Amino acid sequence: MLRPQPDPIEADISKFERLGCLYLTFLNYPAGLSLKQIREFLPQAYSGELESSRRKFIRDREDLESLGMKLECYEPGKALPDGRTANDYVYIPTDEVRHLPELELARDEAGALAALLMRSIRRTQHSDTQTAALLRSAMVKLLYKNPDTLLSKLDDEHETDQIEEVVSESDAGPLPLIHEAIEKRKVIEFEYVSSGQKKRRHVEGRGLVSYRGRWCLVAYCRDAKEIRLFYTDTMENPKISDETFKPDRKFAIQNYTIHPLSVRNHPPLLVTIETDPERQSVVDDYFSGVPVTLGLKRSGTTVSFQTTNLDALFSWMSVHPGIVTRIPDETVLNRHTGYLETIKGYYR
Amino acid sequence: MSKPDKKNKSVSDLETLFELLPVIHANPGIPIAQLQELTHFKSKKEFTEKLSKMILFGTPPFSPTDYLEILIEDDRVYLEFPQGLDRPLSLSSEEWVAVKNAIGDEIDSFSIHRTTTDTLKRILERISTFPVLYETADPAKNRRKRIEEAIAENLQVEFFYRTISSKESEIRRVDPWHVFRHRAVHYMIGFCHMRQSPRFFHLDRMEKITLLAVERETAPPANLGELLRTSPIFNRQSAGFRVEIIFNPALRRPLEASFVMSEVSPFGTDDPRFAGWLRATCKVREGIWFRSMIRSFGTEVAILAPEHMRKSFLEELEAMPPVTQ
Repeated sequence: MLRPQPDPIEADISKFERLGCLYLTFLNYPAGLSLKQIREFLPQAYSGELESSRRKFIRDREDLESLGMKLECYEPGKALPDGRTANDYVYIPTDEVRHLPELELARDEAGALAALLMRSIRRTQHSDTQTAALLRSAMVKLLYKNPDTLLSKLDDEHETDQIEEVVSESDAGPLPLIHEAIEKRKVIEFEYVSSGQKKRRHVEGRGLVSYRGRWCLVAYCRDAKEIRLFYTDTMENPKISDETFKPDRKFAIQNYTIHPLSVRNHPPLLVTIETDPERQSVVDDYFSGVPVTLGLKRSGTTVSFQTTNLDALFSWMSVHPGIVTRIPDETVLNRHTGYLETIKGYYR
Repeated sequence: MSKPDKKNKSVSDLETLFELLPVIHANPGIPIAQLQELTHFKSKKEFTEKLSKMILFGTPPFSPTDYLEILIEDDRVYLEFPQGLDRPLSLSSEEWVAVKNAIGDEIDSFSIHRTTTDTLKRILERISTFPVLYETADPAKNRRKRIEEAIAENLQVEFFYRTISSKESEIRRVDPWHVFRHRAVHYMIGFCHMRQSPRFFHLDRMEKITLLAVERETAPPANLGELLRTSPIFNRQSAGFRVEIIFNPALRRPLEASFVMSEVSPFGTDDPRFAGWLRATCKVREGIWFRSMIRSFGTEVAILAPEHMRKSFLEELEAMPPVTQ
């Protein structure tokens, strides 16, 4: 027997509408819905036998995931996240819906962002279509209040971009995973070498800090029971665990600016140095962005600070000979002499 | 707007249209043609049809206010009830990384056509849903800022510079063209009035930068990208001499971020100072720059060969001005 074939356009439209309604419905029902409720809400979409509706919904669930709406299925009898017991197959969005932070961009900022995103899209649209697509969707989100700046850049096809082709060296590494874990407040596990020892770490991500092209995860380490910094490019086998954590409302990332002087190599030491008055711009640069926890004080050419990494100071002094003229503290001065002698010993 | 592969058309159309809802809501009466340009739809008819279909999207129990209310009038689009999509969803992790990379690349390649580094850093920090700090401690921060100002103002700069051939600083007057960072080192390219030709300068070797009240005599050339691409900085295969180094394995990543290393293998020595260290080969063009980089890694790296590099390294250490108490 010949069955009537559905019109492909009609079938597409009905799926289009069905998925659209499903997406909005789950967006507005974060506590989840049972298959029975879904069938009641969308009777035309899921008419017919229960089993065929269930199969259809399972296919739609995969499409919803492509739209960014991932649903967890709870079988009858299973405990739901809110404490109730499922009396049917219940589908609950796994992730809380998060909106973009309120982003008020000045006109020049919006224009600059639109221009750079368009340049990046042009650079990647033939060689890396996936990245180009991600940049386009991000661009529409970020500049939704300024579509005119976006369009003026879309028209600007003649702009050449040779320079960026030369400098681009981006490598994401585990950053997408870390980003996802922090957003969902899930514990990240990874192996990390510290003080020559490789250990498995379980951390609660608080934020990200970049320094000289490298990214660091600032996290509460459940093993060390304190905030620690981990370079993302040296993490091994990172994965998101099922464990969640509560956000720390008092956390201030400004306290965790990365600076060579704040790397933990020894107990905190108070240091005072006298610097070359003729080269204060170099001194300014070196001490820019020092974490507040180092208690930096400057008076004329005298600089005082606390450090947990004297070698960083000595390294800077080696690259800029004569920049530090005097170290009043005998212990620190002797450590500097010892540092230089160690290196000289490699060459004698 | 092309979407990632493997998505069927309904899904990719929906994704695009949902992204447009905040745009429509924030810009009432936006021309439909303007909206279409933000999408992958080629046909205005198809786009308008799909947009109109969204009127049927709703949330049970389906009272009038539970539907998306999209109105298309005189080729302009309005949206009344955005159903929780008046503000865009936060960037996905993949989107965030893509934008982060784009901004990072832009910051590393600042030029006159672009906004300032500080503005870009602020944007990256503000688009994130959790705390992010971007390059707050920048060893070339103020020097870079001065040159960015000069480029933006079309002014010449003057500074003291320690050259490769001379250890003494000398004054240079330059038309700055471009500032960029490569392998953790900041550079400026510009027209040097002393050498009467384009020159690269390491920001780390520049001191006392002054913006002169004199306009640049030369503008960045049209082939600036070509100049950069063929320069020894980016042309890793260019000529140079081989230097062997040994290093603590903990420093491998930062060393690799600074220069190209090959033939990495265990050092294998009985000397306890170097227990567990690795050895590697580097191709070096500028001895002074390379030795300066090695010095910055302190006691954890040493030059193994050639002998003349070891000798120069030691001489430089011995010649350092003393630090007094």
